[in-house]
Order: sequence, then structure tokens, then C-alpha cells
Amino acid sequence: MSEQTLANILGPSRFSKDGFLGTDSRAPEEIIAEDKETLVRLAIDKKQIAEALRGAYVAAERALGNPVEIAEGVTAVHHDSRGRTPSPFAEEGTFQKGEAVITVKSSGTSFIVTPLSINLIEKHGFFQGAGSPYRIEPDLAARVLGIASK
Amino acid sequence: MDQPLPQSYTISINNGYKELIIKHGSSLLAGLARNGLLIPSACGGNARCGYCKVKVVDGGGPVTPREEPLLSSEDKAQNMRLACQVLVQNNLSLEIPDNLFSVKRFSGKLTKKDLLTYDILGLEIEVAGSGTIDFTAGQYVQLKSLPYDGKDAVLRNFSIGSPPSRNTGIELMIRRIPHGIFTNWAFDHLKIGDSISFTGPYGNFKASNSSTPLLFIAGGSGMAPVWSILQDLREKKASRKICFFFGALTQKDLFLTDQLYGLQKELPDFTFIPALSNEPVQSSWTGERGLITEVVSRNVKDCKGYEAYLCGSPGMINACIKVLCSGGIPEKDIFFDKFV
Repeated sequence: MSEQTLANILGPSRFSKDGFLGTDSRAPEEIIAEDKETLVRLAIDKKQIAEALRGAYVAAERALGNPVEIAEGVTAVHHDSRGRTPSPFAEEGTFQKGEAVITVKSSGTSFIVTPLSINLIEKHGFFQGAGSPYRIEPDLAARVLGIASK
Repeated sequence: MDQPLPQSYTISINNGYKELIIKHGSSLLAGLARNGLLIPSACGGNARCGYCKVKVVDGGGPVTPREEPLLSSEDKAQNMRLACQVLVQNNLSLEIPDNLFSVKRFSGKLTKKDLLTYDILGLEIEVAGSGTIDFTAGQYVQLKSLPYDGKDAVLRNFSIGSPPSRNTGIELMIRRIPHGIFTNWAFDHLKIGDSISFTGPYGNFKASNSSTPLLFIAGGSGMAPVWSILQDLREKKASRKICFFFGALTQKDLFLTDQLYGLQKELPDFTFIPALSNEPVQSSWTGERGLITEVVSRNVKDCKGYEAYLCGSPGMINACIKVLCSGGIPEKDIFFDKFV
């Protein structure tokens, strides 16, 4: 897929108000490459981080909107939403809407996990662009979820 | 010499109950819509949302690559197709749920907009031109937003919260989704007097006509279809046993409570049980506390003989199904409007 096509499908659409690239001026391939470097530095792979994010999402979903502690000092709250949202990659179908907000209590730092964002990480190593509300910083997520081995 | 291709084909629906003529090369979705048969769709026919599934019994040809990710193996086994991806190139035979025949396109005007809670909006929309909408309590409509801030118009589904007797319009309950295109439009841009277009009614979420006791469980904007059904039951002077559990986090997430407590005086055997799962311990709340599943378990030890109707998130519904099944309700008597 060409760089421009990828940038087009990851931009704002009728299903994603802000798009997946946010205000990031980098090409999607650059974002993916830089995040991959971070994963290598942390000695983890995209499947491990996706699995940890999925675990956090499921724990939050089970708490039906109540905050749940998923690690020491880390809470997750699930917000449900009606319907399904398609992957920007058409061949991947649709994903349940809904999001889990993961918050580090001591700093107030937070990030949002959705079934679609987990898929984008697992399949494409794409953590979304800076400025996207659904951007997940791989080093923060790995640290918060306790899977960073370095 | 080759015969010229026909310009149009016959679409036979439900074993010939209805026959339509659709132009060669049209998408099935567009062709049906031109003939007044509106199949739900949220992506405008781009094989993205997967909502426009119809059963193509004959003539649909092979499933296209664009449909593959949106059709489950069960869908394929049942000859379900995305109507937006089926090109009419020969006669077709379809099976379509009867209730889709009564779906119409409406133009309405927003007559009331109120916050029901900090994040749930109540809207009242009157059908334009003194028109009416016929629906069954529990059904939903599909609304279309207008473009704003560079965002395209989008289609989203919302359950009707008003009873069928008030057929000159509809009431809706819309919860704000932080990054939601439609809900942010409804909260921040839609004004009283604005025109709004919608299609409907859709869906099969409706209470049975029997005298079987009813158990409703809902959370958040899942209140809407239940409130519609309860108002309908009141108007029909239903005497059956009815219990409604409404789950919320805190008192500020509750709404329509006065009306629902009032309904206990109007319906002979109705109980409303709001339950809060994250209310501060020291607050003034004296009602039920805990997850909705725990509250249902505590209050309905034996729910054999009930029909249960659930409306909320998939997580809530899945958890409730387990509780209800263990309480003695067979799965066939549990009906839900899952937010998927």
C-alpha cells in the first residue's frame, strides 16, 4: 500500500472523528518504525503488549463502568458505546465500540484502550499518531501493565 | 448475434410476497432503497459497517472479498450477504424480516432538547408535515447527523423512548461518547427547530403479549426501549408482574426515577429497583448498592417463569445472562438489545 493511501485511510472518516494519525506529521510507516524500536528496546513484541492491553480491557469491561485496579496504582474504567466500528483496514471487519481508560493514580497519566486499537497494535504494530486521543505510548503501556522487561 | 442484456431484473422477496424491478448494475442496497425498502446501513454502502445484511436465497453469486471480513461463517451458511456489495446482474430471490417492510424515511424537527443527566441527552423530534410514525415499543430508529467541523454526516441507531401511542414524533435518549461523531453533534450542534432526518422503525426488541412475568434490566441510555415498553404496558393496563432493575454508577447517573416510582402506583404489580455500583458509602442513598448482577441475584432468587429483557453494554448483558440462567430462566426467554 502506498504511503499516501495509508495516510488517507488513517485520517478522519465517518467512523473516526479525529482519525488515527492525530496531529502527528510523521508518515504512518515512520510512526510504526519508531514504536517498533521502542518495543525492541523494551525486549517485548507487539503481540505481548496487545495481549496485556486486552487483559486490561476485559478486566475493565467486567467491572461494568466501575473503576477496577489492574495493577498496583493503576485503574481501568470501561465506557460502553452502542454499535461497532470498522477497522481502517477494510479486510479486518468491525470491532465492538467501547473503551477502557487506564489511569496511573499517582501521576494522573492515562491512555485509552479499545478493541480496535488492540487490533491495530497486534496486526500492524500501529499505536496511532501523536495527538490521536487513542494513541498508546508503548513504553508507558508496557510499564503500567508490568510487561516491560528492560 | 448476442442477445442484449436486460436493463433490469426481478427481485423476489419472501417467496414472491413482494416483487421489485431493479436496474441492471445497481447495488442491491440502493435498488431496494429506491423501491422504498430501507435496509439499515451506517457507512453509505461502502462495506464498512456490516449492517446491511440480507439473506440472498438465489442469484447472489459468490461472496466478494470486501464482504468476507464482515460475514461470519454462520452468516455465510445462511446465505447472508451485504446488500451494498451485491450487484444486481440477474434475477434475485431474497428473504427479509417482515418488519423491514414498514420501515420508512422521515423528516422531523427537533422540538425539545434536555439534559437527563450530565451525559445523557433527551431529544424530542416531531415528524414533519403532521405525519406519524407507527412503531412497536422497544424498536429503534436510525438518525442522520449533519456535517460539522469537517466531519461527515453519519448514521447512528437509537432506541425510541416514547410509547407507540404518541405517534406524531419520537423521544430519544443519547449518551455522549467522548470522541463520538454523532453524539457530539447532538450535544453541541443540534438546536431546537433544526430539521433531522431518520429512518425506521427497526428491530425485534419487544415485550411478548402473554401474561408471563417480565424482568427488565438496563443501564444508561439502555433505559429508552424499556421506558417505551413500560409506558405502553401502562396504557394497556397490564396486570402482569413486572420488575425493572436499572443499573447506574452514582445518583447523578439516575434519571426518570420519579416517573418510574410513580409507575409503581399506576401498574398493579410493578417494582422499580435502581441500583448504584459506585455511590460513595457515606452518601444519602438508601437504595440498592452493587453491580447490577449482584442486585438482581439478591432480589430475584428464583426467576423461573419470567421473561427477561436486557438493554445495555455487551459486558452487562453477558453477565446478566449468566445470573438469569442460574436463576432458572432458560436462554430462550432472555431477550436483549445488545449494544453491538
